[in-house]
Amino acid sequence: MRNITREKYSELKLIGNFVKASPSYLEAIPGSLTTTVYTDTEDLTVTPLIGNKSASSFFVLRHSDYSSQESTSYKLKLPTSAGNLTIPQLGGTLTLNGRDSKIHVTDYDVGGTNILYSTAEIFTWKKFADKKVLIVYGGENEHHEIAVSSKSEPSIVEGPESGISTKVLDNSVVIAWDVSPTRRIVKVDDLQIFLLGELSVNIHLFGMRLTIPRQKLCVQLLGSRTSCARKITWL
Amino acid sequence: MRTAYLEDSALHITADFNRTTPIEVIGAPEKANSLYINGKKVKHTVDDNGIWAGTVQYADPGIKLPSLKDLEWKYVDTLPEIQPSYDDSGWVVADHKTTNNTHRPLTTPTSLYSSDYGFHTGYLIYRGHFVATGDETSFSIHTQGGSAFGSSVWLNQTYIGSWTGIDRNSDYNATYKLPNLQAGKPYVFTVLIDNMGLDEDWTIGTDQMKNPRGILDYQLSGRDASAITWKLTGNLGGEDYRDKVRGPLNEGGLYAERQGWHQPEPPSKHWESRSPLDGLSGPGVGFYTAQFDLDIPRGWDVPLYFTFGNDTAPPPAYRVQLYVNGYQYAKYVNNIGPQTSFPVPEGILNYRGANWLAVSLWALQSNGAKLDRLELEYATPVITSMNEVEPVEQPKYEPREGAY
Repeated sequence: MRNITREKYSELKLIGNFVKASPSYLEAIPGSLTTTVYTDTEDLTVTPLIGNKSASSFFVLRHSDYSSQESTSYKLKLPTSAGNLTIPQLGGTLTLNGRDSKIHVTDYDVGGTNILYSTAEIFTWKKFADKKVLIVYGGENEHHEIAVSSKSEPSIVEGPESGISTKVLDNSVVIAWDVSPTRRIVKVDDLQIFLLGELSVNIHLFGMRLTIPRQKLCVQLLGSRTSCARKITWL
Repeated sequence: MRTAYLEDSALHITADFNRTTPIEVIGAPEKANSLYINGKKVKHTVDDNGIWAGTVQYADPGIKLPSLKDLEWKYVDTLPEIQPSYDDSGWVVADHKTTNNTHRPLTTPTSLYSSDYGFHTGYLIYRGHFVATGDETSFSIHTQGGSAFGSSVWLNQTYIGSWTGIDRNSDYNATYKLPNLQAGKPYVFTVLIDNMGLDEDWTIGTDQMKNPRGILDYQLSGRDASAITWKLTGNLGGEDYRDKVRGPLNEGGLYAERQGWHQPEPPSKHWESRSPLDGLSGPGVGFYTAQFDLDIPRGWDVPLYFTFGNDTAPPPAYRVQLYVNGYQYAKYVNNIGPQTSFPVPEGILNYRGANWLAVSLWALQSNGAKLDRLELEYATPVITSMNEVEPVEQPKYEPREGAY
């Protein structure tokens, strides 16, 4: 294919993979946008999509002034199956940069494992014979938190341990991290959570479904990280 | 990435690569134990987390492209209308006393809106016949072709002047001084107008898309407007266009286009050898054609572009159309731009075989014009798993019945 140098292509890829992996999104019921309910700042607007036939809900976040190019710090106030939570739970704040928009999830099903919430966006997930894989991403320099409904101690199985903290709470395991260009994999029970930067997801990651048999796998093209300009695209 | 599939225990992946690329499989199917990329086996390792890793090697294929300036270019004058011998009896007479256009009322005795006569696209040519009284000193003509359009006017063989165009003008009212005319002698104006296409309309009710193309108004000094009788042409056949393969928007009203010489294998054997890089020494329109071969290796996706030079300051006023195997792929205005590079996809271009190029060059200034440069260029070659591209239909030139 041709050189695909515009961000629109990458954004479509991100949204497409997320929607494909999120059947509950189809059934969630969109509510009215609000600037007061789900975050601690009116600079941000959230449109909720509340779980209908499943428990999964989706919270679409953007700047209230859609032309804003500010970096806005915020905390989320989300309803979950473990009650109303103020996120991040382990300290720090979340950030929305400029014209970016995020979809935060609660009670999101990954092959039988419940993700209580994730502030990092989901690229895709898949259950394999011996493991489950969940791939999430965040923007450069952002701080994120993901909570898994489990009581097991998480382990970092790939990548540096600095910039990650984990804590086992009463009803979930919380993993907090600063987004890094280096890939990190955190394991909770049989779930491998890949923590990635948005750029490397955009450019390098493809969610592929096997044509024969009907089974899906994820393929990551790594390239040279130092030259991951958006202008260079593999397809 | 294009596809992934299992063949027994082999995991096959098809993908495109623009350089040597490490590749990882995060979740390989349980029964897979070997990795094939684009049909070639790739060695892989498996780490503690079950992730497969391998590398796809990229080696520059060394793409070679022909130098367009060195082609055997053939030339023909594509504005024979200004020659005294030219016969316009086959042309459409602009005799509609009313217009179908509900947006702008007529200000001429008969409609000179091209769409009233079925000409909706491409260059427009008007022929205005009159018998002089000898008192005519100037000619004003208000033409409209869309933003960045241009127009040129001749009286018989004499160049009268041009509106060379600026980006924001979709119409222009030009007044030209005339040479001395002889009383009782017949004369003909030839007016060439660049139709940039009909306007878009994004505001309800403004009806911009109905803005007509052609001549809105004119005044021959000392004479009634009805002193001039007009004929016009756009693409041959108008709405009953001839090239059903390439469609109604492909060709315009130049003589060479009406004949179909922009298509492959035009009857250029006995034409003069001359290149668009030599150009024209005076105002007018030249038509150039050349043939070249490409030999792009299979298995590579190589984006190709035709690039015009825009190297002279201030930029001379000329307009170019580029036809590739009969398909119009560039409309270039040297004095406005801004686009100078025009991609042409594989399938329009024959990547392994013969190709025909045609260029029309319209000089809108008295000292003529030539192309600064015309080059065929490529961007990064990509190892591709794309199926081989089949060329689209490329009907070659055949004499056109009734072409004038």
